[in-house]
Amino acid sequence: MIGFFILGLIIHVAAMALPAVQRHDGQLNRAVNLLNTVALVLGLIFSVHSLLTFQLWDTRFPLPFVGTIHLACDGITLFFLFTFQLLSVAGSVYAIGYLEHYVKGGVNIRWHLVSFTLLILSLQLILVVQHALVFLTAWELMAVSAYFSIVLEKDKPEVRRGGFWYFVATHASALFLYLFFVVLHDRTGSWDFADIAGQSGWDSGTLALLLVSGFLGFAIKAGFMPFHSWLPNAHPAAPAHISGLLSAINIKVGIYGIMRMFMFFPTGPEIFGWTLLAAALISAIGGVWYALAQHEIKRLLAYHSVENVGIIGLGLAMAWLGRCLGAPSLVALGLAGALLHTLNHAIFKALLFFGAGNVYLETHTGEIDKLGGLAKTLPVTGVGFLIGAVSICGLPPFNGFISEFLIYKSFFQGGNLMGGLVPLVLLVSAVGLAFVGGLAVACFTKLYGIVFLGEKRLKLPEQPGHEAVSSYPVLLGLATLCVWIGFAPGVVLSLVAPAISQISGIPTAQLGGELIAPLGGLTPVFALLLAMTLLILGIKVWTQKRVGVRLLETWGCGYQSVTARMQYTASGFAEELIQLGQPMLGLKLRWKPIAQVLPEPRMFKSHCFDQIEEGLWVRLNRTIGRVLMLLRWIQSGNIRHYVLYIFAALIVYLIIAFVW
Amino acid sequence: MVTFSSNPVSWLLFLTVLGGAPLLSGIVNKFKARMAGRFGASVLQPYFDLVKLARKESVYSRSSGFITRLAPSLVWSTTALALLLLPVGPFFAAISFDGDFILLAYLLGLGRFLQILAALDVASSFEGMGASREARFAVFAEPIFFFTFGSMALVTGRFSLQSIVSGIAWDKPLFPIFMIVSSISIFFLMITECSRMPVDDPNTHLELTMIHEVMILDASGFDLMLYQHAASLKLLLYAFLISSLLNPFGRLNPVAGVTLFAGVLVVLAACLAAIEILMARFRLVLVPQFLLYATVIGVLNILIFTFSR
Amino acid sequence: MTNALSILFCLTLMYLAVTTRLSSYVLILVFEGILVAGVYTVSFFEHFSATHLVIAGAVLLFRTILIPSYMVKIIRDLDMGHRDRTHRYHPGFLLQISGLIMVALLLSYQFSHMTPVLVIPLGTALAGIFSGGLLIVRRRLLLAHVVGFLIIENGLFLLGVGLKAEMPWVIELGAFLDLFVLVFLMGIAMNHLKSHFPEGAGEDLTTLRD
Repeated sequence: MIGFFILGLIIHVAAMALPAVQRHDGQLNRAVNLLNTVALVLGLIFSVHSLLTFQLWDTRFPLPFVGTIHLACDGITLFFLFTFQLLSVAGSVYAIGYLEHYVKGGVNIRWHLVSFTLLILSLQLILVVQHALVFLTAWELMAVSAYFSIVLEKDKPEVRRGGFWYFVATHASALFLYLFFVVLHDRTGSWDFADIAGQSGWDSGTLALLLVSGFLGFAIKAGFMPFHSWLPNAHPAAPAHISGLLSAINIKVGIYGIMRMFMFFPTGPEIFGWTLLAAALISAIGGVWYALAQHEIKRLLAYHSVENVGIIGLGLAMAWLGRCLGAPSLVALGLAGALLHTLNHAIFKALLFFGAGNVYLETHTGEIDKLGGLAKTLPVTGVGFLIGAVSICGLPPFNGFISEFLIYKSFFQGGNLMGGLVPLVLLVSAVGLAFVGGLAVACFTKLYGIVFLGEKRLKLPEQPGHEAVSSYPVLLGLATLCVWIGFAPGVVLSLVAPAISQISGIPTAQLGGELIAPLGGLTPVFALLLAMTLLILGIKVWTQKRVGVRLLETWGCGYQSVTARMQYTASGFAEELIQLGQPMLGLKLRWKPIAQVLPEPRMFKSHCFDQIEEGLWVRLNRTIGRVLMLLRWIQSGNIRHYVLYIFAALIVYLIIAFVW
Repeated sequence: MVTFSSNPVSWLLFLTVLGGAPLLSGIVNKFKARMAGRFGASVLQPYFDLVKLARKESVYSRSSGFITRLAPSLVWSTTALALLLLPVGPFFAAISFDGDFILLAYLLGLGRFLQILAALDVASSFEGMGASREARFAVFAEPIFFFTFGSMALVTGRFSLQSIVSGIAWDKPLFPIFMIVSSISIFFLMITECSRMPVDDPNTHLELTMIHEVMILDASGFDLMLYQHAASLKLLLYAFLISSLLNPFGRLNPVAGVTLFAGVLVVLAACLAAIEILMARFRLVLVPQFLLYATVIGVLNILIFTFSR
Repeated sequence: MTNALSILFCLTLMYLAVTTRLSSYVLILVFEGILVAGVYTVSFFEHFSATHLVIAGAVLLFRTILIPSYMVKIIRDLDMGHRDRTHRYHPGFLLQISGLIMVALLLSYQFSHMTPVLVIPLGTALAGIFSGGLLIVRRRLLLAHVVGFLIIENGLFLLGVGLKAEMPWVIELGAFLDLFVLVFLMGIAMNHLKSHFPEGAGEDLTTLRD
C-alpha cells in the first residue's frame, strides 16, 4: 500500500519537471494538474485504506549528514494526509479551469505550476516526517512554494503585499518552531519525534518555554487571534484555487502541529488547556465579527477561517483538559469534534472559495455591494455556495452541524465531570459558540443574499454570462461531500478513530460504540426532515397546479420607479452589529449629509479596518523601524568605515583569544 | 443513543399538535380583543385564514429564484421537526437523545437562515430591512436559549429535553425559583422569536414596526399559508417549553397533568395578550438591550443557584 | 427569603442600567428602600428587639418615603423634564452593570470560603456599591449622581446584613444623617444653580468652571 503513496510522490516530482519540457501553456496546465490529480488519488487510496484497516507505517533510513531520518504514518498523520490529499484533488481539478483564464490572458503560469506542485508535495511530506530538522526543511519548502503560488498576479501591489504578509507570518512561526525544536533537542538529545514523545519529567521552566514557543509557532500558522492579521491579507491576494487550498489545508498544518504537541506532552499542565480555550474562543468570536464587517468576498471568507480555527481550538482545548483529568471519553469527544471540523472546514471553505473564484471570473470584482442576482447567471455556483454557506454556519443537516454538535457535547460532558466554577466557564464557552453561530448566520445570509440573490446592483462591464463548466465537478463534488457527511457521519468518523484512539487510549472498537453510534442515530432524524420537506413541497406543487402561479414585479409599496440600487447593501445589512463591535472593529465613515431640499448626488463610504492589525502589528513594525533608525549611522556608506569595522572586529577577537 | 418513542401516543399527539397550533394564536387574539372591549374574531379564525390562503393563486416576483420556492417548505418542516423533540405534557418526546436541545436551536436557525434568504431574494428594500433586523436579533436571541437550557442541563446533570424535564426536582428549595426565572428568560425569547409585542407588531406590515411580518411580504397563496402555520407552530413550541418547565409532572397523574399543562398555555396566551394591549412597541435600537437583559437574568440565575448551594 | 429579596435588589440594579426616565429612578429608590428594610427585618428575625424595629422603621421612613418625595418635589420645582437627556443609547452600560454584579457575586463567594457570611446578600451589597459608583461615573445629570450615591448607601446597609454583623444603632443613625445632609445639600445646590442658570438646571455637569 505504501507503494501507492511513494509512486504518487514521484509523479509529483515528475509534474514539477514538466514545465521545462512542455512549451504550450494550455496543455501544460492540463497536464500538470492531471498528473497531480493522479498522484493524489494514489495517495488517497493509500491513506483511506490505511485508516480503515488501522495499518500504520513506520520506517527509518540513514542519510549521510543528518543522521537517521524517521518517517512514519500514524493515525494523526494519516487523517491529515487524507484531508490534504482530498482537498488538493479538488484544488488541482479546479485549477485546470481557473488557470485557463490566465493562459488566455497571456500570463506565464509555468513557475506557478511548479510552485503549486511543490506546495502539494511539501504539504504531504511535512505530515510524514518525524525528524525535527527535516520537518523544518519541509516547513521552509511549504512556505516558499506557497509564497510563489500566491503571487501569480505579481503586477498588482496588493498581491505582492499579501504574499509578503504570508511570507513574514510563516517565517515568524518558523522562528518559534526553531526555538521549540532546539530546546527539545537540548533536553532529550534527539531530533526524533518518537524519542521526544517518550521523554517524561520536564522541569516546569523548560516545559513553560516549550509550550509557549510551540503554541506560538503553530498558532501563528493556524491563525489564532491576535496573530491572524496575515490571513485576511494573504488569502485574497492569491488566485482562487490557491486561496481555497491555503484556507483549507495550509493553516491546518498549525493544527497538526498542536496535535503533535499533544503527543509530546502526554502529562501536560492544565493551564495550557485553559489558555487554548480562551485563545480559541477569542479567535472564534473576533474572527466572525470582523468577517461581518468586510465588504470583499475573499477577505470575508479569510476571516471566517480564523473563526473556524477558533472552533477547532475549542475542541482541542477540551481534549487537552480531558486528558489532564484522566477522562478518555472527554478526550475522544473533543478530538472527534476538532478533527472532524478540520475536515469539514477544509471541504466547505474550499467550496466557498472556488465559488468566489467563479464569481470573480464572471464579474471581475469581489466587492459585495457591486454584485447581485448571480444565482441566475451562475446556477451551479449558486447551489454549491448555498450548501457551503449552510454548512459553515453549522446548520443541520449538513456536516458543520455534526462537528459543532460534538464540541457542544464535549463542553457539557466536561461541565459534568469537573466541579467548582468550571461548569460555569464551560457554559459561557458553549454560549460563546452559540453567539458565534448567530453571527455566522448573519454574515452568510448577508454574503449569499446580496451577491447571489436579488437583482444586479451595478452595471458591470458586460461579458457574455458564462460559468466555468470545468468547475462543476469540483463544486458539485464538494457540495455532495458536505451533504453526505452531514447525513451519514459514520464513515468519516471511522477515519478519525485511529487518531483519537492514539491520543485517548480508547481502543477503536469501543470508540465505535461510544462515539459513532449515537451520531449515526441522527441520520433518520435528518431523513425525516428531508421527507417532510419533500412531502409538503409536493403538496404545494400539486395545489399550485390546480390554482395557478403568476409572475409579477416585486411589490414596491406604491413607489413608482424602484431600481435595483434601492436594494439593501451589505454594509447596511450588517450595520448595527458592526456598531456594537465598535472599538474592536474600527469603523470609518466618509460622507456628507444632504444639505438642500432637492437632493444632489452624494457619496457614502464605510470601511472597517482591522484594529488589531493596525493598532498592534503595524504600530509595532513602525516602532521597531523608528528604534532601528537610531542605529542608522552605523551604515555610513563609506567603505573606509567598513574596513575599520573589520579591523576592529579582528582586534577584539585577538584580545579575547589571548585573554581567555 | 437516539430514541424514537415506541408509544404511538407521542406520534398521534404530534399530528394533533400540528392541527391544533392555530388554535393558540386564535386564543391570544380573542383575549386581546376582549381586553380591548371588542368581541373579536372567533377562536377558529386562523383556520379559516389558512384554508382561504391554500386556495389562492401564488404570485412570485420576477426577481426571485429557487430560494423563494424552496424556503416556505423548509421553514415549515424544520419547525415541525423541532416539535417532535419536545415532551408534551406527561407524554414522552417522540425523538429524544443527548443534546437534542442543540438540534432544536439549530433547526430553528436553519429555518431562519432560509427565511432571511427568501426575503433578500425579492430585491426589495422592505424585505431587506426585515431580514437585517431578523439576523441582528437572532444573534442576541441564540445565547438566551443556550444559556437557559445549558444551565438547566448542568444543574440537573442530564442533556436531553426529555430527561431535563423529568429530572427537575421540585422538592428542593432552590429549584422552583431557578425554573421560574428560566421560564421568564424563555418568555422574553418567545416574545422576540414569535414576533410579539413589544419587539414586533404582529398586526401591521408597515416598515417601521416589522421584523417577521415584512419578510413574508411577497409570499402568497400556499407559501403564505406555510409561513403562517409555521409561525403558529413556533408559538406553540415556545409555549410548550415554558409549560414543561413549570410543571411538576413526576408527581401528578396524567389527567391532572394535561389539565395543568393546558391551563399554563391559556395563562401564557392571556399574558401575551395583556402585554400587547398595555405596552407600545420598543424602539428597535432597544431590542438588543431587551435581549441582553434576558441573558443577564439567565446568568444571574445560574450564578445564584451555584453560589447558594 | 433574604436570598429572594436580594435577587430582586439585583434586578432593580439591572433595570437602573436600561432606564432613562427620571420617574423610574425615583421608583427604583422606593422599591430598593422596601427591599432593604425587608432584608434587614427578615435576617434578624430570630432575635428581634426594639432597636431593630426602630432602624427598620427609620429605613422605611427615610429611604422609601422622605427622600423620594423630596426628589419628586425637586424634579417638579425645577421642571427637569422626563428624561436624562445626556444618556445616549449604548448597550454597554447594561453589560457593565451586569459584569459588576457578577464580579460582586464571585467576590462574595470567595469570601464565603474564608469567613462565614451570607453569600447572596453580601454579593448584592457589593454589587450595589459598585453599581452606584458606576452610575455616578457614567451619567452627567446631578440627580443621577444623587441616585447613585443613595444606591451606594443602600449597598452599605446591606453589607451589614451580609457580614452578619449587627452594627450599633448609633452608627445606623449616623448613616441616616449622611443621607439627610446629602439630599439637603443637593436641594440647595440645585436651587442655587437654577437661580444662576435659568435654563436647564443641574444638567451637563462635566466641568466645574466659572
